[in-house]
Amino acid sequence: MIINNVDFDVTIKEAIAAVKLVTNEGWDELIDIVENIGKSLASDVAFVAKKKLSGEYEEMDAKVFMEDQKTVARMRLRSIAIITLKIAEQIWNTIIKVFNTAINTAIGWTIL
Amino acid sequence: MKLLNKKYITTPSALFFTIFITGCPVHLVQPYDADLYSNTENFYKKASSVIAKGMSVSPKTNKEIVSISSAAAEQHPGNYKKFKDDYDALLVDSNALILRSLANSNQIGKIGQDLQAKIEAVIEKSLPNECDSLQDSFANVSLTTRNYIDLKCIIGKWADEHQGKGPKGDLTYGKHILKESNWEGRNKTLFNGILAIQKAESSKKDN
Repeated sequence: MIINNVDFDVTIKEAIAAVKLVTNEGWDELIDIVENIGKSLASDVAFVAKKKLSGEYEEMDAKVFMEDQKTVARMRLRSIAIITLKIAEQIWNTIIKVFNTAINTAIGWTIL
Repeated sequence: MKLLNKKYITTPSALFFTIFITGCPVHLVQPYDADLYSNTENFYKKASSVIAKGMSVSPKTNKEIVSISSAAAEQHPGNYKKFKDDYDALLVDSNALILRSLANSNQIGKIGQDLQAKIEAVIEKSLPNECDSLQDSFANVSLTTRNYIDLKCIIGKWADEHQGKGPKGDLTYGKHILKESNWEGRNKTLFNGILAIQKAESSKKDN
């Protein structure tokens, strides 16, 4: 669709390209933290098993340790949410920026 | 007109339209704070050195703890009394981190605040623990601040456990001395907790 020489099909493509750049960077961060969670969970279980075997941990020690890991899990979930919200914010603001320029140019007034 | 009928306008699309028509950028998270990042790193260093101290002076097994007489336990380098100042200092530092993160909380837009409140409710419902009461004393704060509140809660809990007053029971057999492996577990908790906090904060950098 072309309005006053502004091709909105091109604008959409520009917006998609800009969003792709944002999500590529954001997803790397997200994948990194999810990978870290997986590795840490396995490491926590191995830690408790090792301490049980060596006699350094009894049931209460394991319970106390796992309770702390529950709090760490809450922190990780919040961090994933923060990173995800940041990606959403970047996507949204990127789209707004591209379309604002196109709409203002097409209308001929700075309405947005 | 049919399209303007209420049933054709869903909440997300109305939200989308409203924000879009204003043309304003949205703020779903609080901005990157270099000082908060750096203060968190300093907190880690301080807490980590307390843990290293604990590991170096604590017995390896429960048997060893039980064999220490009550009088000797009072003088033992692993006794809570030798760590009280460290816990107090870490609690002060964790409060300072909460205050620092609160300073930037107001830069989140209304939509961001609502989303974050809903996410927190889901997290606390999925993983309830003894930190919830401390969390409840802070209303309408960001997820970033909530992580620091949990961090403070962990330090407070560690101090209680060292005094034999932990929620799961007395780890110290009345001697107020922890095992080396308890400190080792704390080291993992501290590292993973701080890593999660720093990952989230650094993801906001340069944007």
